[in-house]
Amino acid sequence: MRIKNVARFYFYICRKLNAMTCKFPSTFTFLSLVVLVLYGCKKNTPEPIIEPITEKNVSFSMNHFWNDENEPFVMGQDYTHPQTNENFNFQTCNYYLSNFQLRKKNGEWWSHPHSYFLVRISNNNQYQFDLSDVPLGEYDALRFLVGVDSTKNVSGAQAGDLAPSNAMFWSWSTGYIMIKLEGNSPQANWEFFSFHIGGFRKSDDSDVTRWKEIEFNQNNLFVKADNSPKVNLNVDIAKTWSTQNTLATYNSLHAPNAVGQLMADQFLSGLSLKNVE
Amino acid sequence: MKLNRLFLLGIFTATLLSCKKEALPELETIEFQQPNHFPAPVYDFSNNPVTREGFELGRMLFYDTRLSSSNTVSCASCHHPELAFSDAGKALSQGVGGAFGARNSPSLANLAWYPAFMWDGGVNHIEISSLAAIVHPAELNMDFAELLEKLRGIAQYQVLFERAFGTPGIDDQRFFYAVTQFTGLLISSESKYDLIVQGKANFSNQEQMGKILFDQHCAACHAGVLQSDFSFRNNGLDSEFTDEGRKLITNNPADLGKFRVPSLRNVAFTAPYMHDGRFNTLEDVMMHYTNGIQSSATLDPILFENITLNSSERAAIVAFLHTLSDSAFINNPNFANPF
Repeated sequence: MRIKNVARFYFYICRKLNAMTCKFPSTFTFLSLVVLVLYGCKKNTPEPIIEPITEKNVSFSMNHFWNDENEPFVMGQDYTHPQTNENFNFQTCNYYLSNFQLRKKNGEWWSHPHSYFLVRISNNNQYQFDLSDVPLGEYDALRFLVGVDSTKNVSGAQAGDLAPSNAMFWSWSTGYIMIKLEGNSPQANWEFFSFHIGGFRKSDDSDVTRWKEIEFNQNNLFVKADNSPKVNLNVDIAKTWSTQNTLATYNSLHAPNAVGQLMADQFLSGLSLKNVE
Repeated sequence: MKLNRLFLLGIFTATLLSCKKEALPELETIEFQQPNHFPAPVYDFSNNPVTREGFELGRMLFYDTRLSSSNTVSCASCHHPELAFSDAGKALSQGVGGAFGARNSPSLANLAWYPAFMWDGGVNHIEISSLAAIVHPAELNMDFAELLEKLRGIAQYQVLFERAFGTPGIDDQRFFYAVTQFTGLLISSESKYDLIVQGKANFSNQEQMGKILFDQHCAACHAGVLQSDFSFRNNGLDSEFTDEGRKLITNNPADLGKFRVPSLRNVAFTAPYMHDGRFNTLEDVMMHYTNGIQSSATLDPILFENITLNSSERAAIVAFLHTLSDSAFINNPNFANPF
């Protein structure tokens, strides 16, 4: 009954159109049409295409130590101020790295579109993160910002590593804390020290963010389809106290100012390349 | 045959109907509407498109006392809608445990046009303007990470966040986006003054006289339809400063004792006045500007010369200020407490 109706409809349309092909409709053309329509309705299941790899993640490992590469820097251990011999015991050491760039052999810099990492040191002196989707190639230098760029400081609510709930954000004078160092020291007032080093404004001289550039010195970074490249960086936290600033006097910092800028410079001087794998 | 066709038609219609989505109850549209006589807003709503669900979630968060450590204080505790979201006559804000803040809670209106927030401008973006109040020990006294955990544990919020943002999950950005959808839409643009600006009403004689005096003596700072140029100025309240004001943010001695020029929108509802709520009435404020200016190194040059106003002139300015009262704003049911 239904087929009969469809056929009748088909003939009706043909009559209306008065097309050449329809003048002598045969069972064959009709059936072939049905087959075509049915085939057209079939879902396409294309052959799986293997996309060529054009990008790879590069892993970074931050290797923290105190004064000497063989003395791992971890929370809760006792360390000595390299200039004043006062005593430290850390509870928090967090800092931001952002805006990663890699230099190609032709001297051009490739910039990652969105790279913000909150490095948190716990009972392991190493902190690892992945720089995603780096184009394949050979790179001979690395550049990144220690801290968070001014744009992200004035762009409202952020997520992930930049979320305010990470407690690396000032709410009363909004902006990111670049480095947070907290812990105990018998020499400090109340036996506690707390350095929140932050500030991003060039206008009032409170910018603590710093660019760090690292040359790979012939030991270049190769990002290839078949390898898992890795960059190991050294961070000597003791360098942050490479002046005579004693804990008895300098044990608290909670606003952008010149002391923060000095500490940021010193922190930066402790950052260096260990090797590229 | 005829019956057959009818039958087919019936099936066809039934199929079409079954494909149609279940009809949702009609909701009033909530969206950002630019008042014609306002400049373009500072806040870019395209990054955080307002939806009914997002707005309603923001409104609920604004009025929810669970945002505080003691479950007793909400944003609305110091920002009452019937007083243009100002603080019910309190000179200084009062938070968890009755603790007093250092400053007077300002009115919340037209925040989408603000380049910075708080009396000292320390907060640079509307989306994070609620954070300082949430974490301050004398306000909501709540660790922000803890607050997110608390909200994640409330079934109702799990549902409301999913409805507002399409997928499950409560995080910093969603929280601030939702609150901003509410606070960003607290727009006051229907006062008598607004009607007059648009040529739809007229000042009374006294208001007209007040407007002329206002333009002459006040509008240099209280400029434009938002009655503020959003600069930071020392308006001669003190010669020595217990609150350093803008200097706390910039470290610049030239900013000592400076505070943001407040918008005067709904000013008749927002007493007491000044950053520390020291003046109870608009008449007191008039008296300050006519014979109360205290000299100091950072006093605004505009105030070097005394403003002379007789009592009928002062009354005229106050009458003009009352034309800035927007009763549609304070009575807007969309802004009311949902609990």
